[in-house]
Amino acid sequence: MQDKNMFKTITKTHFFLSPLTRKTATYNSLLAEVLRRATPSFPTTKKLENKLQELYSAKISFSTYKRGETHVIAASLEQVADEFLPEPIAEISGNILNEAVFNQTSFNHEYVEQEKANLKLRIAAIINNKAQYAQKRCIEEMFGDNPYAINSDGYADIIDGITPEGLYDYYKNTFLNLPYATFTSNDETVSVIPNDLPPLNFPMLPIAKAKNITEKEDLNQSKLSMGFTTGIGSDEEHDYFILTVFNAIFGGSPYSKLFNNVREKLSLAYSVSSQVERFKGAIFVNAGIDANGFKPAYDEIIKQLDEIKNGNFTESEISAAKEGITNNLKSICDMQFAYQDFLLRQHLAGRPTDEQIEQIINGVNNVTKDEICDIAKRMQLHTVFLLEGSVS
Amino acid sequence: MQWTTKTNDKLKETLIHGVHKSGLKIYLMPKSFNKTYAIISTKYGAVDLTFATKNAAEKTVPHGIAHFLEHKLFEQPGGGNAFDLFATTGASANAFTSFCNTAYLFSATSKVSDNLRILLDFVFTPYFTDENINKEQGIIAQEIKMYDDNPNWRVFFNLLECLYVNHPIKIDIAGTVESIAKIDKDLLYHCYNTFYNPYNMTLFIAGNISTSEIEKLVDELVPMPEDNSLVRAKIDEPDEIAEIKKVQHLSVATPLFLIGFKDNNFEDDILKKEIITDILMELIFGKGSKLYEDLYSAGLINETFACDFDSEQSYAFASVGGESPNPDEVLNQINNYLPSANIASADFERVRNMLIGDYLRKYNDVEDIGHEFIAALNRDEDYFSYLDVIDSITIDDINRRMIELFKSPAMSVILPKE
Repeated sequence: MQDKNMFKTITKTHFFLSPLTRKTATYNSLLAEVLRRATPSFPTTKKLENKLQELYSAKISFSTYKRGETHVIAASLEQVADEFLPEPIAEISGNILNEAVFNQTSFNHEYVEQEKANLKLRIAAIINNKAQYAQKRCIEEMFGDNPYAINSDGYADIIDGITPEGLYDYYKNTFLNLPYATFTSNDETVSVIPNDLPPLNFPMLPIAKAKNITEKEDLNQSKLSMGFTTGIGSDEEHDYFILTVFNAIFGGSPYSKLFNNVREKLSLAYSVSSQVERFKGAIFVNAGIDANGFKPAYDEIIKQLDEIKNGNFTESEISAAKEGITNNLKSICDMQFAYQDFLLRQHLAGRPTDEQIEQIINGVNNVTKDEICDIAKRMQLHTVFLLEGSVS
Repeated sequence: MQWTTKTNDKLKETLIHGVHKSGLKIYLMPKSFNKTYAIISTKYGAVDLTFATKNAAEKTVPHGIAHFLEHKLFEQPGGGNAFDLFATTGASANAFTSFCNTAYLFSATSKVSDNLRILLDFVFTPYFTDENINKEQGIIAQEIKMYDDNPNWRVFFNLLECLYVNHPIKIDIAGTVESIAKIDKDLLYHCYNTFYNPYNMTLFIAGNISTSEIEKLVDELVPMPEDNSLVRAKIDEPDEIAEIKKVQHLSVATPLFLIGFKDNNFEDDILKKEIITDILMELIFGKGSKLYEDLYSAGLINETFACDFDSEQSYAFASVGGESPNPDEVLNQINNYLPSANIASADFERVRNMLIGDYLRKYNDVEDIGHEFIAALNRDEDYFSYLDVIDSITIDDINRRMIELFKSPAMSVILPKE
């Protein structure tokens, strides 16, 4: 659990939970940018920013991201706790957050147009980060028509059609009617999450033959992104624990099989790792490799998966995985926003919110070697995306 | 070993300090988060290329060797890697090389002294072989190529090439594929023996461990070479900049730019200079400034616009940049604005409050505490006294600094490929 006295700050977050469609992702992303620009009491961005800076750098932030098929809009205030300051600020900063989120009376047309342009640039800027781009393309190809394929930042063609009035209408009649949960870091009680939340997620199903997609670009390095299905649902508690232990052994840690073999032993990649997408029961492997190094890296990644399927891993690899996961879980308690997001994720995964981190750690520690082999055997390669660099 | 304890009542924090007989400087900030963070750092980074000691004549080593050494120090005698050892305890371990420092660190939520043992043991047990050096050359060549494709990295180093004529900070920290090919076992041992002397090193821990546990492990694991009277060759760098502008074409959606101001003021009180400059930069370029509002409204900058001040003993520069459809126009507007810039006292108070809040916030996280303190200690700054220093700064300090710093800007631009 979180020790509330360790922090110099107080964090309050409202998590709004929206369905995920091309339209909602776009409107929510734009709304998040516009809401932070001004409030009725501080009608220009400069006035609002100046006030927050004066309040010892109180931070109001809006972020949007997807958790499975839910689009989350997190509106957060983080401020230095009054006991460390020459003057109290909690009431004033709390009112600013409240006004920014719930009491906007209209949107400045100029701000809406600026944020439309900025959001379009941000969406286009994904190509600046080749590794992220490769993973995004892999997800798009793998999930196809499933909402999970939708880009959390939204779509340029939808942005073009949004007017300031249309956005305000969405804010008033859609956004403010979304279910939301509120967490305050210095409050002993965990806030009650309303029942009328978006539905649970369903795991991605395997396909008969894996898809291979290659794009070419003039780069020194190639980026490889591979998506696997497992069929495990986010609420299947014990299977999820097994999957996390499996992932740490496979590629989710710096002592994993992928890191030690693909990178350290064979120098086939500079970066290589795997990660779990809990809400879709998927595993992704991402690697940065030599421009012409696809085949050997790909073969080695598959070989390492086979090693786990065949039980070729040691008790010390298992215990390292469990120790690493325990360390990560305990670390979450040291961060205010991350802990709030963790509580929310638990809920969205269909887990009880009073499930303690200690219980999860116990569950992880009960995972056996046979269970890990069995989970590995459920892994099915679904999509291989290669952003191929050219050797010039 | 003698320990001294300092308590700061405003912060409600305590810092314990001692110097081990090996010369190693040790700091402990007791915290009761789940996580404990430990970092050991040597004053040795990418710019330390030419140096002498009382036992070795002056020598110049290849670019990238400090970073190479950092990678290789994880190698264990008899095979294996220090990461494997941290794996058994669940700690998360890492290392980094900057221009002036190399640091090794871990964070852990249990078995803190076991982890500290692993950290000290591997940092003070070099094991370099021709075979493992050869393999590493392949891995680091990949790393260098990866950074060659990274627009944010390139925009930064291209700016350094504009600002500096001779200073080695303009060379990539990892070196070049050609320079690292020249690294061999003897060179690595030479650099290791020169710079990994405890006299040149600092250990900082934020978290749950006692001074007696630390002392016991340091006694056991830290060797006791004598002070080697290390002398670094002076870097001969003129006050002038090398180039006004540098442009590179990469695969980006929007142009990236970074504008830099070379700082030639190397007065002793670096912490005070840093805080003054941070206040100044925030007043001129920060989110609450007039310039920011004007540039943002004109669509010339977006959320990525940010300013920074980087200061070490041998170099310092201020920078501001981000994405822009028209970087030349941003520079033009900055150049037009700066001569008329005028600092109001309300704005000065506001930015001071902001920096106080940001400073207090650092104590929320043992990793932030460790990073800030080790960086400050390597520059011989007293980061613990930040709130007192900021109290002593006046608006006149800011005005003086403004005239001194904003002389001749250089700009680096990354444009989309045609």
